[in-house]
Amino acid sequence: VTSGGLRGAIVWAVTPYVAEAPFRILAGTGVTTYSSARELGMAVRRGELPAEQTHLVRSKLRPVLLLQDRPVRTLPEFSGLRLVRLDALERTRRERVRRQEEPSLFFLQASREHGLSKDNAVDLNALVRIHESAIVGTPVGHISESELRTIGERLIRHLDLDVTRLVERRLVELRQRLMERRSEDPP
Amino acid sequence: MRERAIKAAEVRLPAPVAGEAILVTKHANRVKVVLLHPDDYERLGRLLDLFGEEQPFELQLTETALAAHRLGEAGEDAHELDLESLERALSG
Repeated sequence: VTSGGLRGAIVWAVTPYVAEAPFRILAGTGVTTYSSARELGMAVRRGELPAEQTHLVRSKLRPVLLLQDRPVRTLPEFSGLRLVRLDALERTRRERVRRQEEPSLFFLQASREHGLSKDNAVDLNALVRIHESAIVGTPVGHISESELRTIGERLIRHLDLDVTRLVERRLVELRQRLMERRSEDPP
Repeated sequence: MRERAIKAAEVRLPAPVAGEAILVTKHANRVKVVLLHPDDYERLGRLLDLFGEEQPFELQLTETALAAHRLGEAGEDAHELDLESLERALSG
């Protein structure tokens, strides 16, 4: 159910950027920079750096679409998709997104329902993990069950997930159910 | 699936009927060749179309998708913060 839960909710959250080289690490009172993951790995191997480090990674407060509910709250992290504003896109590209012609960008019009006063798009290439403590206040809006289903279907493609066996099993189950129903019904 | 055509006059093969696969075995019954009826081969092609290996989706990304994603990754997608929406989150 998307109306009251967090699945399909649009929230403002502290969203970290992806850690990438050069890696800036807090060491004592200063910052040490490692130009590559390999260089960092070698420093750990030499014992110069612990396996766990404190990185300086930028983050931004921004709207995120949450993909999951946590009804019993055993997991405090949510999978979500980052929303992207269309302001900086060229006009023709912006129009393509608005017409839902871009499979990687699910357009969300500024509306009370979405809780957004600017046009956004859900970026299917921007899967993020959000801790519940990083969510600001309460959800500002929700997308519909149908919109969420469309995004879910597209996400499977974007993540290169192989659901062949899942679909096959589902088809076999449906066929089995149909056959059972036919045998129950009188001719 | 790649195809390699051989003229019927150049080889001597048994003719499979529809719904039958002929297994040509070698040592210890290891299957060396499988012969299918053209109808079954066509059906196999249709199944591969349906369930065959997908290309990585990255190969299908459009310039617009990449542009929007890069702007988002760099935090340069919005000219100004949507304060009205943020206010809604804080007051809820």
